[in-house]
Amino acid sequence: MKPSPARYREVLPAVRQAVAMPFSTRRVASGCLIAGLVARFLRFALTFLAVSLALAPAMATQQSAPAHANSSGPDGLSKGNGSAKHCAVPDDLAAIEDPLPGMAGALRDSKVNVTVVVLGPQESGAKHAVSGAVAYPARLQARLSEGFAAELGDRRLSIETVGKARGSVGELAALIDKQVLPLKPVLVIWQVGRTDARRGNPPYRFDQSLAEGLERLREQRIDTILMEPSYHPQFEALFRTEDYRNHLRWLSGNRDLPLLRRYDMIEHWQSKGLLDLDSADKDVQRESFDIIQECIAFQAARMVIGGVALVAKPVAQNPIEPNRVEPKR
Amino acid sequence: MVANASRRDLRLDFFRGLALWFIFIDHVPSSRIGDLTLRNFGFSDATEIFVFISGYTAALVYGGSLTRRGVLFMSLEVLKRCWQLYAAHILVFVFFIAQIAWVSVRFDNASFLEELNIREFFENPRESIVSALLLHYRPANLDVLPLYIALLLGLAPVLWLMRWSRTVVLVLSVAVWVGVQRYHWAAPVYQGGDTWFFNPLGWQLLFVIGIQCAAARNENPAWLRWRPWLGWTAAAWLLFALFVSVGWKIAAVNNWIEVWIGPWLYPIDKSDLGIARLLHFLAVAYLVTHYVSERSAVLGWPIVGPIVRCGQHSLYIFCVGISLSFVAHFVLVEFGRGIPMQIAVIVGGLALMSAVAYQLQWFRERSGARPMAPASAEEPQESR
Repeated sequence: MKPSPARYREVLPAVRQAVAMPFSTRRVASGCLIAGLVARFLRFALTFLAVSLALAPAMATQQSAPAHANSSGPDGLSKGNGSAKHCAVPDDLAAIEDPLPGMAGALRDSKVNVTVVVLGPQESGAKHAVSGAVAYPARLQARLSEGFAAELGDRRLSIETVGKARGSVGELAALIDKQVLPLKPVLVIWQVGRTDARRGNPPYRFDQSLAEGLERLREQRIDTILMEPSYHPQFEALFRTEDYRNHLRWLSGNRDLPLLRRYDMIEHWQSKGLLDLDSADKDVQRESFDIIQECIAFQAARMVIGGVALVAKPVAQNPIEPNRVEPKR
Repeated sequence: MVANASRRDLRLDFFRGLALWFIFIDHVPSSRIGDLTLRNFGFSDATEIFVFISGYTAALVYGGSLTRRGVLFMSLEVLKRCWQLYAAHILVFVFFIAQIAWVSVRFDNASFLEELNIREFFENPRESIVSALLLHYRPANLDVLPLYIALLLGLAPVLWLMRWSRTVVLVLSVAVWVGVQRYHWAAPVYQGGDTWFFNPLGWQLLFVIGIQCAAARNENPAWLRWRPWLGWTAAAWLLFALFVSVGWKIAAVNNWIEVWIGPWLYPIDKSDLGIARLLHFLAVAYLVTHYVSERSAVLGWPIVGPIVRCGQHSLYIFCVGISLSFVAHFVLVEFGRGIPMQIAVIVGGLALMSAVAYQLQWFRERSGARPMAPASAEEPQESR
């Protein structure tokens, strides 16, 4: 029967009839709504059970995938052997489009020490995460030293960490003058933390603080790489980072700054089964943490090396110089 | 948007119920189904729908009360409603704290729990509880209720002014909104300069537009009438928003957008109700109210019944929805995050919300406190 909702009272029984209960509609329409509700709920529950049973094999496949993360392969991914094969991300996340002229210039000029500063929500000078595991700055230093070995020659490439534990973007921007600039960095990797999301800081303030800090760095001609907040499903269940990540993307797009899409990368690795961030097992968690640090160091190194490679070689240099060896990727 | 007040406009309940369903789906974390909700296809999302319809129905309910019983009574009714919303917010907040506690305990031995930064609340409970009661500490997922409380608190003066001059109210509202866009006025402001994620001074414009539409619903004024050219403009803006939103997911399109459109479009401000979001929602509302009339056949579809019921008891269903999203999170963590599991969790959650809504409606009908059909043109049976 086609419902004709002319009046409110007529809509309800009409809708009920349209739902086509397995039980008698007379019983429902006569006001015994409890039976109707129970019937509806049973119908939903049976449908849900049927769908779950039908898809149980697919669920089993999904669940077995994370187990793979425990046996991370004979090359010991978590032990510092992250490679393109394991830490691969989709092409749109892997794209390197923005050059790093400051870094390229410093590498060419053999008189300048190459200092990279990682600015983020961890205490200044911390090279390790709280657990004692080797966090990515140390691994990044190793990779960059290796990747730029030819250009560096005898110089050392050092990475310093500057920051404030659980610092918001505004608090980190305030540290630029006092702690970042005195180190005379060539490149600053600005890790945006999750504090703003946790506090519910309005995104325009997030934008403002970030813009102020980036402007300060630009005035000093320091290359900047922005890094998205990290991904963790438990944090996402409690607080939303999406708006801040959108603003970060828009800001970096408007200013043509390289953005390391850490959140999307970790989510990708989780979906591929490389990580299991839902596990309560301490060892699995430590392993996942190590894999993240290793692969982020790999991707960050790729971004730095790629950004330097994008900078055109100045024509003023000796034109018959032999081709440079491409840095290892 | 002409509606005969003696008939209940089911569209209001339907769209509010739909907004609640979208809010629930968006709160289930890391869900692929969340990619299908309204926010992925345009600039506005369920929050706009919710605020607009709340303004509309609040004007219907409390406007009638103002006419019949005067300003003082209406103000007290509004305050009573604000108290109910505040109590609901505190209740949902307690569930949120329970969820944090569960996450802390489950991952307690994690070597990187420090990185999650969620223990701050428990380390300083005294300050945290006070700031929670003052709505200073608001979990980012639960920001809609405090916004609604703030908007309702301003309802009494707005309705009173509306009796004097509707245009002045609209002009004042637009002026405050423009001030927010240019100078970032914000309220409330706590110690340390903290403000809310949703700025009530910005969002009040949408609330007031809802109130204006409700006040004008029987008059068919010139500015609400259907004009084809305006319809085409709205459709064009919607298509543009669709193109940009879908483009965020495709790298090649996104790069093009960043170069040509980004500089003047970004950032699309959610906390201050940026113009892009406002126009997008108004375009959606304009087209929908024209094409989904009160007697539309869409309202007869089977799926509409549960949605309408959810919209009629929006506060309860909102709280139930938030609580169920916590349960959904628990289930996804413990039993796997595969697509079938996500679908099962979301369908189960929506079914439970609908079941609660039906139960509440049954109880309301049986309790006999208020008549079901509206007794007069000014007092439609509206859920707030």
